[in-house]
Amino acid sequence: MEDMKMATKSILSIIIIAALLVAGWLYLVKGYISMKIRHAVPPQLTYNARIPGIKDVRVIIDPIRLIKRENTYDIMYKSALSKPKFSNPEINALSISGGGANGAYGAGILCGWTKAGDRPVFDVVTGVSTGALIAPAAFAGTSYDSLIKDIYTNISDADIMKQNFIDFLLEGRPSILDTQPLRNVLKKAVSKKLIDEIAREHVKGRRLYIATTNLDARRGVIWDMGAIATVGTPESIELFRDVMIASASIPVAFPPVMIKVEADGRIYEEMHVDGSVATQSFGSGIIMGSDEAKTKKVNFYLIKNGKFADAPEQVPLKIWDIAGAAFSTLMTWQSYGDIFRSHMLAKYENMNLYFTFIPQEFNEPRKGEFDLDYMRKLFYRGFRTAQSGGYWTRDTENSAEEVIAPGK
Amino acid sequence: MVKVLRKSPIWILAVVFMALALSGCATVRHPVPFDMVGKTQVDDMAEIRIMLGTNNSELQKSALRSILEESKGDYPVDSDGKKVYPMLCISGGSANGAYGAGLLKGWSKEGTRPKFKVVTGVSTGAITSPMAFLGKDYDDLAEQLYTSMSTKDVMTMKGPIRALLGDSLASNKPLAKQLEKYITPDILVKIAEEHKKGRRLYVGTAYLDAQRLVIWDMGAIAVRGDIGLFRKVILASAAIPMMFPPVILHVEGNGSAYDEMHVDGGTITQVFTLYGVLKGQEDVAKGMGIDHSSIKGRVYIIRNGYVEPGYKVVKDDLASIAGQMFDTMINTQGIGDTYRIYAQMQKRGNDYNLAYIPGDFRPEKKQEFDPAQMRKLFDRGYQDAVKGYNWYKSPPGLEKASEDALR
Repeated sequence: MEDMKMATKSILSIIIIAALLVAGWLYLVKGYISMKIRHAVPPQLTYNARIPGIKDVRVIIDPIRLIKRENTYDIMYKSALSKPKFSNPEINALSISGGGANGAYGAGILCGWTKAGDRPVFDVVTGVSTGALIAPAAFAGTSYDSLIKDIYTNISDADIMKQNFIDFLLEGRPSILDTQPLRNVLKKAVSKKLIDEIAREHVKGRRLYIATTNLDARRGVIWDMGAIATVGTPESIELFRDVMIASASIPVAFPPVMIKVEADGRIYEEMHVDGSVATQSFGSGIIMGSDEAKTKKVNFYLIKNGKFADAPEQVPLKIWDIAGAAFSTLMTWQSYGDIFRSHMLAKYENMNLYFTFIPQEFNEPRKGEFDLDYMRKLFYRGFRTAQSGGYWTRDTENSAEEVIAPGK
Repeated sequence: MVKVLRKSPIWILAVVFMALALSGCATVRHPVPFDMVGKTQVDDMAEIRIMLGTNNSELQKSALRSILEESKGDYPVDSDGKKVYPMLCISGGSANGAYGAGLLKGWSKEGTRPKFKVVTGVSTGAITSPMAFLGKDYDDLAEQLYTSMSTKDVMTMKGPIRALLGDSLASNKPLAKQLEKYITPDILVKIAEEHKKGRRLYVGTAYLDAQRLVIWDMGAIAVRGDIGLFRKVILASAAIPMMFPPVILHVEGNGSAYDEMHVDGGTITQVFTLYGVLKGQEDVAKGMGIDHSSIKGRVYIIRNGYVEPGYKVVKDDLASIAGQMFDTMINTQGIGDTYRIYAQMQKRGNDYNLAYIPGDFRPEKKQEFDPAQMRKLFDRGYQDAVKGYNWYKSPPGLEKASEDALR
């Protein structure tokens, strides 16, 4: 009798699970259960799309243009955005890369740098993905260090990741996780006060840029966050946070951020995801196009929130594990190429490139994506390194090459 | 990301599902232990491969030895008195591989295509590379391969349950069959002959457990006569993760048997040169009597892809988003690769030449592998090369900057 009950139960479970799997398949792979209709920007209007009610605050950047200084500069300032004013004797720029929870390293570096006492006021700050979460506070100045520290030492999986398979299927959500928790975190962290501060600095000529990926266009979009901050309306504040969230929204894991735009008098929606899909770091091209850069010394600080390569780890013979491993491998080696790109440009443009990355020997165990313990250790690792100086390498090329050996 | 996916409900469901013993065939892996990574061998053949980042391997010595194995006058001498080694590096790019195949044929026709000292290939480039290595006699075979294939000749989609519980969305058995047809024992013998004459053919796969590139000396495998492994390596190099099953290779280390998961080399780099293999081998070379100052490389990179991405509206579902994401990442990764190689070639004093598909030429395709579209790509590659290919001398975006600032 008990056996019968058990068997019926198992068979029922099998049927239910099989049905769920098939539904999942139809939804995920075939896209049959698509509940939302997209109002995507027609291809020919891609470059004309504007944020309704706000003047030009962004530019779409082709991969080539992103690295070609003339074009970056031309596109950004002659057609759309207002140029930065480099009023200091030297030009200092900071670029913070993507890297998820590994952003704790960059956060630690910045806070330790303040402690060391020689952190400059950056003329330009750029951020991608996790770097986009740090960039606004890094731009606003050392008085916001506690905010950066807080984000990376008091946040955990529970604060960032909420998943609900039923919602996922029923609502037709195109991702596994929900961004609402991150939204709540940012609502607190990115206060009106911080945005006002950024607006004031923008008016003085300093610039804060964040990159997202316009997935339809398969191109990066650079947002002038200071210009958005100066608008000062509730909508602009929401846009400010939306851009940060979009920049950090790893596709598949998090839903894309739909941004309402206007083109040719009609309203459309653009699909924006993690900026690191298009590029892991950016900014040198923006500075090098300016006239001031021709006469002033340029220091470009690049924080890579990651190692060059992760330690080996077994990949189970399952499609999701393979997908995850492939994604992280692709990210690792894409950023390797990005580093070489920065290196070559710096070399040709006579720019001082300073570069820091998580040391290969940092091998703290990590439970879950946003493991608080791991992030705290990483934060303090960055903090201590920066406090004691000597964390920047100038020899980008060799440091990139030396660390690819396994076990290092 | 790995962790995110592992925590995903689908994965949990999959586990429950398996626990219910519906699929009784879960493969147990015997991965290489951390401290053995990079030190394993396939069938006692130490000379056939190297994991990038490791050192002092037989493969490295063999790469250097190739210089001693060649005959006098095999390679031209430049005006500066240095012997020039033409090297061809063919990138990944699936169906876009037709462009590179066409380019090679056009180049033969034009008449200046050199005998390559070294040919490397990744993914679709790995499929082209044996034919490119053997020279213009094989141009027609490449043309036939790249203009007659359709999706069904490459893959068959799996059913939903098999896909979600398995290791891939599709099976690449049809592609394996194609490789069996085209990589004949005769081709293997010819490659082995060329290998003995001091030429080298390399293919790259991504060793996914270790996230590292493994470079295979295909000539050495040919010398061993292991046609099964030869085909398997090419299949692995073109095994797009998620889409196709990974290739599990049985290896041995310190007397124990392990396995390694290998996938599309493009997961790590779209294209590679011998820089990583020969780095740090200067003293070994000297010991063998090789004078580095009297030779130089002339590297030709065929990027089977676009630099400027195309516009495509993404459907609001997971698979479309994931697909577009990978496309976008591979696009920037491919650009980064051309920069990496450029920096390395400059350091070595080598000549740099780059080809990629012109951005204004985007023939439409009706399926993943569309013979009509691939024919157009092939013909365009042929046309671009037959009147003398206009190679880019620096990576995309650097052209102007480098001219201004180089000297």
